[in-house]
Amino acid sequence: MAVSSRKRAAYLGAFVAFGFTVFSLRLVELQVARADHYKNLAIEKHSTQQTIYARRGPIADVNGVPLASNEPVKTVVIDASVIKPNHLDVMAEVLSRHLELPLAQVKLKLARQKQSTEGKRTPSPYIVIKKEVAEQVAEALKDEVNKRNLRGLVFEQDSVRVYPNGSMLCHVVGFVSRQEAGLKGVEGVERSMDDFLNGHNGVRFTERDRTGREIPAFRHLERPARDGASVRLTVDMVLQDIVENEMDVAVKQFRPKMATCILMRPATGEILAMVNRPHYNLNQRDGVADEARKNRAIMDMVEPGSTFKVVTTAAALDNKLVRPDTSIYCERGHFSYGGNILHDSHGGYGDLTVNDVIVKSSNIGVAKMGLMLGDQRLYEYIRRFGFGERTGVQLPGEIGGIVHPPHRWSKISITHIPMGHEVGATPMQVVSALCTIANRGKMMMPQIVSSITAPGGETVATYPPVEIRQVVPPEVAESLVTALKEVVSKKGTAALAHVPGFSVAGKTGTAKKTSPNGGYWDGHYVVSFAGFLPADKPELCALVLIDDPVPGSTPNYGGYIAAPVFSRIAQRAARHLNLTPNPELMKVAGALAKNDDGRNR
Amino acid sequence: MSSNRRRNANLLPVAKILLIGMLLLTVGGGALFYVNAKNEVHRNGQLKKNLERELLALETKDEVILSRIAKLSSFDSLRKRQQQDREVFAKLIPVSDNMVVRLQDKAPAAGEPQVRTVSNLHPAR
Repeated sequence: MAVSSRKRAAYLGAFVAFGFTVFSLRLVELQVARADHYKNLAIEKHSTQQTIYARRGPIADVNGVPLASNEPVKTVVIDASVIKPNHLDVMAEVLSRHLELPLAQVKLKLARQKQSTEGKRTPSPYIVIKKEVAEQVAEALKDEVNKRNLRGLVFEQDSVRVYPNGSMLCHVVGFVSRQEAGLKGVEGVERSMDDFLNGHNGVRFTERDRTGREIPAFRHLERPARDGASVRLTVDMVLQDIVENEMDVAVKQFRPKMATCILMRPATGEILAMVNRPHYNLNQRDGVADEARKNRAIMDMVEPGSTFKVVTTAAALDNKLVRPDTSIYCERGHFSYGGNILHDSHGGYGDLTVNDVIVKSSNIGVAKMGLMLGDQRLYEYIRRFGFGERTGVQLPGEIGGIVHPPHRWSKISITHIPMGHEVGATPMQVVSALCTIANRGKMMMPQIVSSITAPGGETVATYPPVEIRQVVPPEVAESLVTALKEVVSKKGTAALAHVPGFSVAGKTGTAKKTSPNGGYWDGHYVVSFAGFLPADKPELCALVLIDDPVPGSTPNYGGYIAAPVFSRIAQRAARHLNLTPNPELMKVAGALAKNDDGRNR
Repeated sequence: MSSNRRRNANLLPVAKILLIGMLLLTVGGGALFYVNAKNEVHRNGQLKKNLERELLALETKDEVILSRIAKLSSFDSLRKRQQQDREVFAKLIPVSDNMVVRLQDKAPAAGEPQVRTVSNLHPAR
């Protein structure tokens, strides 16, 4: 049957119209119905989210001396997919030479392949050759690679945390560890101030071309990175250096198990220096023993020994149970109480005034004051002086020490606790208690962070001095200062703590160490000296604590081992702090170096 | 003249041609302007990126130098250098007499001019 040409044309027209209709419908589906889906697919394919990394804030001392900062480094990455096969050996040799890596190791890395979904193996486009490469090394490597016309070398910007002073102030500054989210403070101020030091990464949404390169013109939303704030400490690095030097000398001489020194400003509670031995280098932490990493000033507790007598005496004076001139019979050095005999370490005494109990550091005298106070009142004053709780210094890991409540005391505790036994105190608590006396009874919170500043320079936070409480009235503290001044005199236990030109007040401490097998450990002592100067208007308070020294020919007492260290530190510190010496007090310096019997102390 | 007579003269529709020409020029010009503007945006984007890269490089250099300064001027480093090369690096030179500046006159009383003569000669000489 013949089909007319009109009909054929109509069929063809209808077929074409149908075809166009189908295409149009598909077009409508793509452009309208599924527009969002495809739009998102396109965005996914071409858009990219770049992270703008924030810098971690620096840490500096009170004068702006950098203690922790960032150093830019590069991560060397190779895109092996674009390296010509005959260039692989040359590239390996260049990388090995510049990055100081074994050639075989580099070659092995360059030979790494990736497997596609179809199972095809191709050279890997992302091989990390070395991390934390110094900028100068990266520059030299880049120059040589460019000169040799090699392809495939990529540098990724990164940064590492550096501590310019190495081991100085290591326990305070602390360090960071690299985690997925960035750097995270692990110890010290790096940890306690982590929230401030850590910046906030920014983000940028942009588009890339088919080769994967960014099209800067098509940047969308951009949120800039916010760098971390800088933290300024109260520590003065000059004082820190003085203390570090003197502690090194003491450690060399007495080879103790550990040693701690804290320098504080009594009026404000600012910590001016903090030194612990053993210590470690913040830039080389591999293989460092846990013991060396411990900030013993706040994490370790010792029996404070005689420095604690200040607390008992202050309590007795405040309760008006005694006056500075009240006489206490010291039993000629043997006092039997609760089936236990108490001795005086520095020889037996008869009647001693309360002042002299402190000056001579009589265990029996202070035990009798403890008995006068009774357990409840003594406990209350111990707590008021801050023992048994954290001082609140802005450092992580601080412990509160141990002060048992009276219902857990033994029969003889009331005679032992007043002289600093059966109490666990951190060096920070001891120095804080003495600062309270120096500050005429007003207890200040120890502070190690002075201020926090945003990268733009505006102050984020300041830490003004915080008064915790008035522990004892100023008159009581004044009486104690008078007694403590005499401690650092010819008749006291710490004449060697004398500082020429300054009146020094302080207290020695010598406590037997507890044995690992229980009980006290004969011949092993924790010796200390805590003092302040000028005694009448204290600017500086320091504690020198030496754990288990090997004294040699030196008597194993705080007055002979720790006091001279204090003296040397205080002398140099006073000069740095520009404290005016009293010429009258210069004259007695020589005389103080001799005992009553003329022996050198 | 008869009305169905074919016109033997074709007059150019100048106005129409001009209109179309203008339209084409506008559209073409617009398109060219668009392309140029788009290229300009890309050029500026690239320029911005290059400047960002340069800025980052400068910041990096700055940080490297600051870090080196901090390291070299640190107490730790200075002490090490001092110990390594005492003679050259930090030799202590005794203060000689002619280097000490002395006040020659007595301290003026309150209210008097406070300016005093100084000399490196010993007053006794």
